[in-house]
Amino acid sequence: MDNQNNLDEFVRLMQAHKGIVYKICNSYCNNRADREDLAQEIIYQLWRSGNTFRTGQKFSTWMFRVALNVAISFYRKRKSAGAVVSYKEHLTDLADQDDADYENELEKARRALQQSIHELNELDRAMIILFLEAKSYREIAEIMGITETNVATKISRIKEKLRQKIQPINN
Amino acid sequence: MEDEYLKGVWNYPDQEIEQYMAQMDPSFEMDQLKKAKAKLRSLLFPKIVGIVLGLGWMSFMVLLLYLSFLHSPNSLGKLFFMGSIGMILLSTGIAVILYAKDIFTLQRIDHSASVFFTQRKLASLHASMLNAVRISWLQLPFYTTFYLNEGLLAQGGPIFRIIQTLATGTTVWLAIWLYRNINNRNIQNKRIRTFLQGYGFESLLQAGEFLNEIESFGNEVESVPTIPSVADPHPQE
Repeated sequence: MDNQNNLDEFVRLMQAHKGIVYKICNSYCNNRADREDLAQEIIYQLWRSGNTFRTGQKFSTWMFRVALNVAISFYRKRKSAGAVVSYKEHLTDLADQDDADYENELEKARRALQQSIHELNELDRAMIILFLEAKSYREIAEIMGITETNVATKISRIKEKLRQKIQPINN
Repeated sequence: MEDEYLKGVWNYPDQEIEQYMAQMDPSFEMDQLKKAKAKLRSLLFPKIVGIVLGLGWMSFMVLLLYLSFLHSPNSLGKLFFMGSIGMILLSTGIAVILYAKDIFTLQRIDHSASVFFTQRKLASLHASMLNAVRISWLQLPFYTTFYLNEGLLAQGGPIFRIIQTLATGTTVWLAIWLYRNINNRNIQNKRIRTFLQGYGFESLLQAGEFLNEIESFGNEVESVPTIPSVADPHPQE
């Protein structure tokens, strides 16, 4: 396959998976500029890592590995530079911008979930994103590089944390 | 709270994502690729400048050694000068090589390996930059010896000798102490922190902390019985 065909195929795959790329960015960055920077970096690293994708390998497993690794590294760099703002500050800004959305209970719950995810450490965030994207424990274990038992225990603990945060909105 | 409720909330449309996706046509992705390439190159630039400066400093010392070897007469002073500059050159050289090796490895890291493996490797690489720092401190005592010669030692008098001995002795002790104590375990130590300022202390500290965090992440509970609450809700087909 020549370079142009590779590029066309890559763009097609990106079009198909752009939603999850942006959801990952949303879970690791609080402001729009950072999210766009991270999306750029993920797309670039996916392109650059293309030669590590093996025929027969599940595309989503490969893509999640690259995207989550880039997102965690990006978050850590921003944290070292002191550029990570709390999600609460971000929510206050959003609330000022569009109060209408807050009328919607599901929208409230979505933001509460997003805030709870932002309060987790970067590795737990990756685990819960994979769980919410309906990945099996086996696939999560493969992406994260830990045992399935470890995945099950961690997911259970993270869900308990989220339950405590989101319960009041759910009721 | 049901898993399905959580997933429903997660999948609830986010206006910002919708707007972002609306602008993503194939040309948009090509633009993203180009912008990211340019940005990553610009991030690498200061690190390359650091390595070039280190190599420049080493070249200067090689030149001093060469000139001293060719032009100064054999004497105790030449021995002190060449020995001290040689040790400074060696220590700087090892530190620059370690730093360059870490930067090179960082650039070539495989992001498609598992998250645990890749992040542990990245954190180890960042943390190993401490090795370059501790080795570079080893050259400290030689800044107190390169100027010594027979004349100074013979005519300097007792005060000079006391000050010289104190300066060299203190820097030898300090260099050995720092070499032995600058490591991830001691990075929180206030005295060690003082000597890490200017070496990107915060970033080194966080890399060390993350390394500990990721080690415990991988080592936690390996043999917990599978109970209903932790059973796989969506097993692989």
